[in-house]
Amino acid sequence: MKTIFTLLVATTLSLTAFANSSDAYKKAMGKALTEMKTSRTVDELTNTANQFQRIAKASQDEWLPLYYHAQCYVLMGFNTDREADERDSYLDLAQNSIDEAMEVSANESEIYALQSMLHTARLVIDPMSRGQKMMGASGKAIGQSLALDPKNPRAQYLLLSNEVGQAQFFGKDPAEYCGRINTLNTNWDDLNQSPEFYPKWGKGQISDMANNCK
Amino acid sequence: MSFLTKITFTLLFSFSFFQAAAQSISGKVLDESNQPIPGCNVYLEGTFYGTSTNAAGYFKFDAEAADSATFVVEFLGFEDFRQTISLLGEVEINVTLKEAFDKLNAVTVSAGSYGTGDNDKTAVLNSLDVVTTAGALGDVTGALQTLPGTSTNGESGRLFVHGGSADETGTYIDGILVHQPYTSSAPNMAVRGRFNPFMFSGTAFSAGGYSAEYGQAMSSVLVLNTNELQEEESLNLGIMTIGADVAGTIKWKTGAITASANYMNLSPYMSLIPQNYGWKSAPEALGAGLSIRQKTANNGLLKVYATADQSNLTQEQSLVGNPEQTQTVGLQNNNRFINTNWKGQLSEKWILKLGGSFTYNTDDYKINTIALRDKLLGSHLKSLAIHEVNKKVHVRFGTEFFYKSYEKRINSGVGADSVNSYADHKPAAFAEAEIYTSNTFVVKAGLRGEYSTYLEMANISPRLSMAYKTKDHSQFSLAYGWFYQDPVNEQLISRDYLNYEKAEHYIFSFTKKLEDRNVRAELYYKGYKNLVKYPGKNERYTNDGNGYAYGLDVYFRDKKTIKNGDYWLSYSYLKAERNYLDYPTSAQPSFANSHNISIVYKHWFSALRSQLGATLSYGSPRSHNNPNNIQFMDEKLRAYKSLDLNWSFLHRENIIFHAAVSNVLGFNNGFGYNYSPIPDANGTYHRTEILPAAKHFFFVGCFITLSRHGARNQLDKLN
Repeated sequence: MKTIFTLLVATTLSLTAFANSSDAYKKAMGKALTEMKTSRTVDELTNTANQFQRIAKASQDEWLPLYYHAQCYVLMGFNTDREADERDSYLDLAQNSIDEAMEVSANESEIYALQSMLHTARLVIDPMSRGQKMMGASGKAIGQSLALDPKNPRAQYLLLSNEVGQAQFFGKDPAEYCGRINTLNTNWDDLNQSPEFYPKWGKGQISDMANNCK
Repeated sequence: MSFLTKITFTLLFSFSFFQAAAQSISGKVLDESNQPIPGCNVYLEGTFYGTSTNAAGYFKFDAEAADSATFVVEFLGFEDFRQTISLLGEVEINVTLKEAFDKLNAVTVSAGSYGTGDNDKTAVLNSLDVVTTAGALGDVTGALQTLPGTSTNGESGRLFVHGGSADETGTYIDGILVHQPYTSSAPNMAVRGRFNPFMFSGTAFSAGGYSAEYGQAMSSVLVLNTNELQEEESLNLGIMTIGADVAGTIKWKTGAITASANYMNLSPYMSLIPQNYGWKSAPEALGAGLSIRQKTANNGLLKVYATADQSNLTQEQSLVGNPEQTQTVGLQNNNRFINTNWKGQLSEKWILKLGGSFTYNTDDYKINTIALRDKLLGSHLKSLAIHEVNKKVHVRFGTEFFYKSYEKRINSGVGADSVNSYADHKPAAFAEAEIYTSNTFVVKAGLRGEYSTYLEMANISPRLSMAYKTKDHSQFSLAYGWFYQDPVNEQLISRDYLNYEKAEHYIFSFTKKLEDRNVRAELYYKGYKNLVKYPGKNERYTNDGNGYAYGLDVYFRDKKTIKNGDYWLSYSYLKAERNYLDYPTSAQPSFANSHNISIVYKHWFSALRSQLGATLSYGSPRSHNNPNNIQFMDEKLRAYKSLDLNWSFLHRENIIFHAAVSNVLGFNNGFGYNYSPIPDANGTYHRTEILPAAKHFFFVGCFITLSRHGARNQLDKLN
């Protein structure tokens, strides 16, 4: 009798605990992702990144919180109001999280796409001296991302964005990329089917590019 | 109580147990000077409960957890705060975060040191600056001459630092000595650095007070660090008005090999542009290089770099005091050089570097019928261990072995050769400790010892430096040390009993970095002892010479004020006197003028995909000795002035055009006079002026990169 009772209580408690942990993860991710949508300033992004870091520490087998933690800091790394040294230190933090995320999930196309953005952020800080090295690194990461998932719409977008940027720099007409841009824009929603909490960003960016083609 | 009631009670109890621990946790996070830190991550470890501090450093969050939990506060640049707290009641906790020690952001000793590199904290120029500075023409030495502390000597092309002669600068590649860092040139024609600036990812140029790791340099060291493993395979082509070069890289998973070849011939160029000197055959050079990179065990990288170069020229010179009569001066140079080094991480706390270099250099001069040959054989072996005792204490120590043999052979056209030579073996050892007390203070103390088998003498040099950083990005550094050097080859072959020459440095420097603006000012004093002196004809050389130099260097760099523009200003004041060589008295040497100014500007025009560069240089009049004047070193040359321009155009991703012209405004520069060795019948010494090779130098080149990724270019060849 006593044994059954103990077992019952234990089971109830552990079930509650399990449900709590999984629910809490979902709840916390949901809240942090909602907040991320409106985070623009360094302060807002720091707070959001802190949330993702807490989630990452409490759920160590998830790569998504690490991905978003890194993404917040990559965005801060693009913030031109801040000094170069500070932006580099944001990107150092982002790189740590990307490395950790790759350890949790080795073959994730999205992480490589984010890695490519990080290299581009490094380039933007000092294009004259970092241009060549970081342009190569960014291109290489996109290649790795597409090798893991040729359909990844964000990797496709980043590739097009690099190519168009270069064409413009060299005074070429970027119109030759419009076919691929329009295709990606049209198919975005179909390509962008991914499980809950997976990266979804990019629709606005590609539709802006498509509008420039008109 | 029924069974059911019991369960209900238990469940209720357990429910309420969880409820009971829902507590609010609040407080403030401050730094050590009681300023709030916003944006800290505050949470209970292993849970989702937490928040960030607001602008006032304040935080508050609710947590439902067990009776106690580990409370954590984290913020970039500070040590984590961790404490087990009881959650049986409202919790208020105020935290003071301690600044974390981070070597990368800590103070660095910068007295005397001008780093150029992308990751170097003492960097005042980055690696690209070395090749995009107008007037430098892609020469590392040329770019460094726009930094304060250097004196421009147009007829030499070498580095003269803080009142020291060019022989007082030591050049190292990856920590290994380069015995012959410059090309050979006709007398009074500027030489260039032997090495392609694109080989290097960083340069540390120290104008004094440098580490005990470096010896045999009384004034300065130039430490060039070569590139790591190449990222991809490529073929580079350069077509220039003065020649062509080609380099190809083949890569495998853990290594790469680059082969290069170059050919320069100034004859077509010199037939177009009027020259100040007559040439029987214009300078011509042929060179080949091989560079290997191989990753090894222990996270190691092996680097091998080998070159074979030869060059020749024949000049027609009119004789001093008798312009109708000419003599031919021919020079043929042969140089073989190999530099190998390996760096590996033996364990988390130990790094080992091993390296060696070998140089074979001959210069064959032919002056009419007189043949003269300088032959140099040099070698340097070095081992260096770097140990991290703890985060704040690092030690480095090593042993070295230098070998040098030099031979001067003269044949006057009749009879046997007259040969003078010497050979020296020099073991050396050094040790240095770097101790940080915090992010803001560091002290570095080292000791170096050498023994020369030729001089039969040892020397011990202490080195000491320290730096202090204030909150507002200002830094103060002090450096002190003794620096010994062998007398130069021509003096050593005299076989007189000579000693080391010695310099003692005192340096005080101030630097301030504000966003993309850098200011630096440096005061120094240098005392010279035991300089070689020529007491008189047929008397032995002695070490009775002495001298001093003191001065002020100012550097300002601003990448911010002008959009797409970048400029730096350098000013050096120098007061130097010496009594050495054949000086009858203490005097200002001709290479050490009082004021040097450089203004370098670069502007990127994105619409034109072009970078325009301009460098304005001024050197105050140098002193010179006129044997017709009874007073020694009593006359001054004209001031040196030059405005140099360059233009780089990115035609396509992989094609760059480059053009440069020196001394656009056509200033009439002169570098001194050659006097006839004997006076004429009236007792007058005749002279001819030492002029630049031509008033202007023009350069046009096209650089093409072919690679699997078409996007790669030679942006770093924008010289």
